[in-house]
Amino acid sequence: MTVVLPDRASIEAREDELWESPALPPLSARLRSRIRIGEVGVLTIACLAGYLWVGFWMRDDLHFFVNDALARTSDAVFVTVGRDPHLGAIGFFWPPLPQLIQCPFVPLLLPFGRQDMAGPISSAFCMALTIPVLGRLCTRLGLRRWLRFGICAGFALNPVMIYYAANGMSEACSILFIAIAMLGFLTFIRTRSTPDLITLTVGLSGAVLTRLEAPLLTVVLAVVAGLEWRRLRQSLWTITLIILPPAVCFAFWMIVQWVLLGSPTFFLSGGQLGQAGGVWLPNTIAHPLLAFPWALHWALVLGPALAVALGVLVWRPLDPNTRGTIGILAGAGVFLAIQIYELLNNTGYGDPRYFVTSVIFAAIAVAWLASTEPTMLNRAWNASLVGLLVLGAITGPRSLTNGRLTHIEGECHFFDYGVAQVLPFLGTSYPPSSVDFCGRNPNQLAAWQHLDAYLDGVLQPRDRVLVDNFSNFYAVLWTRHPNQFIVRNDRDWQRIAANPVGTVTYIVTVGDIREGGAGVVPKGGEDQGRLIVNGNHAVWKLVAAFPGGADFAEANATPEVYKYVGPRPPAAN
Amino acid sequence: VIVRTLLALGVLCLGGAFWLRTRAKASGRSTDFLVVSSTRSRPTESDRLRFSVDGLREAAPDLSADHTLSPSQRAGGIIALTVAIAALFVLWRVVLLIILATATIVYFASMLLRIRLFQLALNGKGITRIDDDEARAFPVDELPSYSVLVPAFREPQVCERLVANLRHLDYPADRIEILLLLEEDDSETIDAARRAIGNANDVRVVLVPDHAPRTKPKALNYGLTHSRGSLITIYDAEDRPDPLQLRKAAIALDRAPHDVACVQAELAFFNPTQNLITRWFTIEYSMWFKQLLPGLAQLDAPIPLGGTSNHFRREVLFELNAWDPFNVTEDADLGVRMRRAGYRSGVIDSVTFEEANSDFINWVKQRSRWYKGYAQTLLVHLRHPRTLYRQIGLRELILFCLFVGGTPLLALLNPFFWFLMMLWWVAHPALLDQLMPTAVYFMGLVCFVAGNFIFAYMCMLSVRHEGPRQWLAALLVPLYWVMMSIAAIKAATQILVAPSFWEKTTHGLDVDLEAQSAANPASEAVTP
Repeated sequence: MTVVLPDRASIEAREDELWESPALPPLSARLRSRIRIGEVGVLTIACLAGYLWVGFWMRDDLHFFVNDALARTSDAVFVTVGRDPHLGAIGFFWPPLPQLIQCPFVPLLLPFGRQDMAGPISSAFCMALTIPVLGRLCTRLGLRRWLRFGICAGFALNPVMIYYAANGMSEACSILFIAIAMLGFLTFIRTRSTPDLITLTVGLSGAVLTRLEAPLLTVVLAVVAGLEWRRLRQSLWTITLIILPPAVCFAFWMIVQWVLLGSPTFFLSGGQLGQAGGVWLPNTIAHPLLAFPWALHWALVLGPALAVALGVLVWRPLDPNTRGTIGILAGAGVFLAIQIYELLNNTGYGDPRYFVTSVIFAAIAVAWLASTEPTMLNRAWNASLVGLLVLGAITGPRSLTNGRLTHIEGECHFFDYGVAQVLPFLGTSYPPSSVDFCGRNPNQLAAWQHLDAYLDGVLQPRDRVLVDNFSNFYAVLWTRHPNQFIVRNDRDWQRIAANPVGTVTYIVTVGDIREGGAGVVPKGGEDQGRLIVNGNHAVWKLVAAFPGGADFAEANATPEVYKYVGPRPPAAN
Repeated sequence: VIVRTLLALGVLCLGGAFWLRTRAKASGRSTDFLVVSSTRSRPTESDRLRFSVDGLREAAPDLSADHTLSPSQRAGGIIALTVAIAALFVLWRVVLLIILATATIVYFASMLLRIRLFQLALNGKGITRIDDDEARAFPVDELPSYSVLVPAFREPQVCERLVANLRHLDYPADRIEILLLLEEDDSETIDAARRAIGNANDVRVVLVPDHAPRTKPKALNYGLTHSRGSLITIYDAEDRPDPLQLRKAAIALDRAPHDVACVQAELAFFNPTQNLITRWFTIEYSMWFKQLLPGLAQLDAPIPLGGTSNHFRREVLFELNAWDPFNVTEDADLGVRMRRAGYRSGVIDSVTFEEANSDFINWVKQRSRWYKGYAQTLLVHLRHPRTLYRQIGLRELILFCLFVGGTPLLALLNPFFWFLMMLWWVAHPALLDQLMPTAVYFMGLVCFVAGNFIFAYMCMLSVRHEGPRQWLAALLVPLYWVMMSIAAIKAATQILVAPSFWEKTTHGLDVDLEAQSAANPASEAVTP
């Protein structure tokens, strides 16, 4: 074969040809070829729209909000547009991810003055995204279309899920990441592949940054997924690989708390778990021995399918699919176990909302059982499993609104005053809650809006407003000038509040600032310190009080606005 | 203010003078290029050498790295540098902020890109898989002729093993030619090679004339002019290719669309357990060839080819004027030129085992050459950004800049950001607060916390099925990043003073280990 070197003419001719731009099909055609929306996709979009609508309806028509949800949204607003420090508002009490997820929505809502809706919108997105994750799990498990749709719909249309999708709390976020983790878990135990392992760790990492129960969930799922007695060394490495990312996330959060709050384990102290004394428990749960049946009851009324999974596990413990069933039940069991532990130590609230994750575990259990239990009556078996999801959608809300079982404020407001008007059978027929939470919220909202309207009227461009980080940081939610607000971490707050001249102009806090009101004492601990006014500045009380504006409708917990006026004793307004 | 303004003006004047001088030099540059003869059917030695050295430089001077910066790049660089230095005197905070923000954005984008590539590679679609049985069963009559080019320089110690490895290639003898490309004055290697070949005629020695530049791509170009196969591949002297690799590559190219001009085989090491450096190197190669390149292939982005085991269609090599003899990462450059010409590259599931660099100094030499070559490649192809954009599109242009440019740049910037971080922890200077506005701060924080962990975690995942020592090496991989930064600093200085200088990598450092293994069979096994 003779080699012929190319001549210059042929090179140049080829060059002209080569240097032409490659032709691409139009963008719309490429998008069309990529986007295919199945029935689960349609359900997702419809549910997202529905969740958003319910969120606005709850806030604007029912005048309802959960205090903790507003606190999270306030964190997000401070992080996104508030004054320094940038991370100052994250992780005061709670894991940070639900707040961070809200951040992208804040700038979009600011022009409309509705930054308070960042929470419900983010929770709606999280819950809606859980639906395709569940659908993906069903697909990976080999379920047929109608069954896949039934499971997704049975989960997504559960009123309890609708409520948590719309209330801006962290449950939707945690449910999303639990679903992702379980998708990874159930596929990894079959495939042992790296992509499934990554899915598992991503889900667990997100869960760790969302819920305090998640570290235990991580350990449990890692052990169940990774442990293989025959290859112990390899399985230990697998467990390490599963645990490492959530552990790093958890460590990072602890470092943030250490920097901001002075203690890496702040989440274990203060108001998060401390001395809550089961305020939402009815009197019937008075004896410690009743803690387990109490917890089991809540898990099963919210997710009756878990009982079937438990039955299958007991019936066929040596089945090849047992590992998956154990993982599902252990995952749900983590939430029970922590509630029982807290109750026995008198450190929990006894709030049934800690069990709502049972709904996603139940949906996953249904998908798993449908894929692993071949029976002669397949269709009937599958239909009955989906029926269990529907049953949970009825027993869950009815139990949550039963005054003899719990005194939880959010659910009773939503179901009794809202949903019951549309679907009466979901409302309670039991004696109403003895705690007067349901009717107080309109006053609270009005109080904050009033306060912000007042501040907007007096704020000059160079003014800064310091707000305390316990009761009054909601003040940032309706103002037109959120970038002039400062919320500092606990240590800095006391320093600045003690010597504010030149740094801040106004302060919003609770009670008598000279004596150190509740606002400067971190939640749950008098020992965190009191505000000490050094006498080198004076405050001018601008507004006396807006009744009903703080966390609880107590006389000494209403927000008050002060202005720093100079280094002399305070002058009366 | 007056002093600062005067200083800024002074710098501007100096920069302007330097720019004018550069322009004057550029205008005197000769454009009288050599013309390759087309009148003879059989090339002379002079033609071969001219093609090897000047082929690309004559046909497409703007794609040759014989000068790293084009006149316009040099002038633009001078202007930008001058303006930046002048601005430092007047608006130093703003300038520093812009520099920090730009670097952080590059960091952030590179992190996202690598995560995306990793994620894409997990689906396994970027790699063409042909199993051994299928490769063996392919009809011999349909296999194309193959030329295997093996350049070697001052490597007499590996010749015997090299020839043995090449003879293990499973390909019909009448359709394969193996060309050993040796420098004509490298008598030691020539003698060793002839001894290893013996009387057999299955391996042919081609003596490459002593002519500057003495680089591997020049030898390859010269070997190409002597080759006859319709498919061309290259191996390094220490390579141990999968015996079925030629068959697999031939099948892959046969089945691929015609615009797939090259398939790259995976590179791995036969001495991964020699020491901590080889373990890290193995992890890095595993990431590179199993995750990043398949990911790039799926994105249709320009693929910086690996140094060996790439299999080309012969006609494409000639169309593109083969390798650039002045580029020290000629493989990466060729991959980009192929993409610019509308060709694509693929990745096949066949492994060539190489020798992992086990010596720190030797490793730094090799790595700094790679970084220098990547920088060269970036600068060469960005001489006309609009042309490049028209040829490969915006997305691919960004991918090219982030991947080929970002790799050395990030290694170079790492020490600076580590220093900033330590400075912050030690002294809490207020200046850093001003230089890191919210968006930059958050991006930097995400890169530092999430990015570093994710990269380390990806390394751990890539050795999921290996032994505990490899896992430990994966956990310690941040120390490897320090080595990369040292190499990047060396590369940055070299690109200024000796851009085309080919720093030879010494091979055969694993020989002692092999002797040890033979003496002590119970010691840890060497893969494969």
